[in-house]
Amino acid sequence: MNLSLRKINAVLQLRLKLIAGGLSILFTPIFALLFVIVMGYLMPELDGTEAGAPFSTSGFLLSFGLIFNIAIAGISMSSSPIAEEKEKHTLRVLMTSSVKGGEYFIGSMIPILVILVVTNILLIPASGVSFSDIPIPTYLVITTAASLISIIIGYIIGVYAKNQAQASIVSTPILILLTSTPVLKMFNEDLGNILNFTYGGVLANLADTLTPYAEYQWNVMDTSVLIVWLAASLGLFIYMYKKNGLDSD
Amino acid sequence: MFGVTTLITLEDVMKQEDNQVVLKGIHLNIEETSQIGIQMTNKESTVFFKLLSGELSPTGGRIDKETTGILTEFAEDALYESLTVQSYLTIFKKIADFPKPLEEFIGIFSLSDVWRTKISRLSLDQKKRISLFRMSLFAPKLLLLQSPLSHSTSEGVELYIKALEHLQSQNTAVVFTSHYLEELLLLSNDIYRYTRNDGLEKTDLAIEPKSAPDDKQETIIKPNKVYKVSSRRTDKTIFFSPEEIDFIESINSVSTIRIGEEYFPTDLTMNDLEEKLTNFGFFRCHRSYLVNLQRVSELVSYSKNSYMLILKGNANVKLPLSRTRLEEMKALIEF
Repeated sequence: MNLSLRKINAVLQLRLKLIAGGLSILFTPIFALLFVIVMGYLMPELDGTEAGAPFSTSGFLLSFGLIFNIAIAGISMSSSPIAEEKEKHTLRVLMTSSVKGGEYFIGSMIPILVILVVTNILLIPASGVSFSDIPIPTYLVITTAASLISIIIGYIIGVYAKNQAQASIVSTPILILLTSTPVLKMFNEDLGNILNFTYGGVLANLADTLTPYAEYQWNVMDTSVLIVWLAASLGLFIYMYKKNGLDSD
Repeated sequence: MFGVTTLITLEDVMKQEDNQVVLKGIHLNIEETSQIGIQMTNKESTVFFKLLSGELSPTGGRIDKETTGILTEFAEDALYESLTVQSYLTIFKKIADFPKPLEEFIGIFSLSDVWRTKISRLSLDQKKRISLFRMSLFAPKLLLLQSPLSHSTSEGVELYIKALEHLQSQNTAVVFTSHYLEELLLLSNDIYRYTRNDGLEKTDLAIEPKSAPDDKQETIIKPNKVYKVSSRRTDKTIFFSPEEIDFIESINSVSTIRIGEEYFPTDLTMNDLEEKLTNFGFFRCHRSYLVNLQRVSELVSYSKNSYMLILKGNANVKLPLSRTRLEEMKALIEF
């Protein structure tokens, strides 16, 4: 499939104008930042060096903020516009105007990915973690890969759903599962081991080590989990797109 | 010598969906200058347009396409309401790679005064013209438009026709579909009617021979005390008082009484009906139309030679009025 850069650029500009015209899409990333800041004031500061308390408040907050931003914002920001366009019959106009599905998805993905990456970076100071404690390239690679997976999962939901209500219903169980990952990992070791196989689990592992007392080490497990999730979500997305099309009646 | 290029030919096309026949018996030749109106339901029209654009394949028959430059507008297609007209069309200018500045054309589409206005604040008439403007950027060979004027005001109709003339001057063929024959009359040169039983049939709106004007003037019309127009339906005959009737139209040589949204065919010819109904305030506004003048609420001029009569309580019904008959009507109702 030959994709046109001109059309991708046009869709990107369309998406930017639509985001600027209705800032509600930015609500979830902003809420993730505010939530982390407020929780930082409310939660007691625990020292991770104390025996029997392998816990860092800032690491936990960052983990929670990342999940909030990447899972909730990532999925809803990518699924909701497709569902809305289907519902309002604007997507078909784009499709009949020679814009291909690939051009639409790439053009729409760029602003969402930029917003998610910027929020992921802002979450570091918001959660109280020092930049010097963070291996920035590793952090960016893992959080960006996870953001990309969320966007693709959102696209799968958007392609499947016929309208916004249906997209919300389908998203909810996925979001609940993903957002509860950091807490579930803390409470149950067996469940934690299972959750290590999710991209949310990889994010939680990364966030747990972003303290002065620990250091994240790249490992085969986390790398494989991210690659498998990325490949699987992309495969499922392509299958759903071929089966349903972008705007099937 | 150059002939007219055929864009699409349909031969005995049939389409089934969910084990039901949606379309059948479609024979049609669309040429590069065609302005074709087809009376059919929205569902039939949606399937028909998808067949023409290649989105659906026919169940039977053959579709030969000589062009890929086909654009479709369905009745429910919408615009990005939060964008301004300028932003919206600039995006599509980029998609279409349209080389000229948009500002050169905003007058043609009568959008100069709303160029920087949000689309959500515009009327349906204006939105329809934005759609047409958007489609024109792609220089389509064939436009498929579903009921573009069904909810338009008289002013909106006039401006839409003006914008459409620009597209037609660029050699764009157009196929319209609508429930309403009157809407198709405004937009098309050739009109077809689709019915499940007979398929697609060309409607000859002027098939009935017209009496010479001299003969008509000499005809002495006797006053009628009581007159009812009859319509026979299977096992019964229905009688209508003249004042009930909105208008009578000739469809494929059958005079059809129109009351509200309902149609009732009669055995009488248009000339017979004109003779009988003139004393009841009916007027032959067009070779194919006999209108009850009591039901007329507006006379609209769309161009120098094009007039339309709009009926009370149903702005969608617009009957053609030729220039010569306008003078007759003026004399008759003294305006």
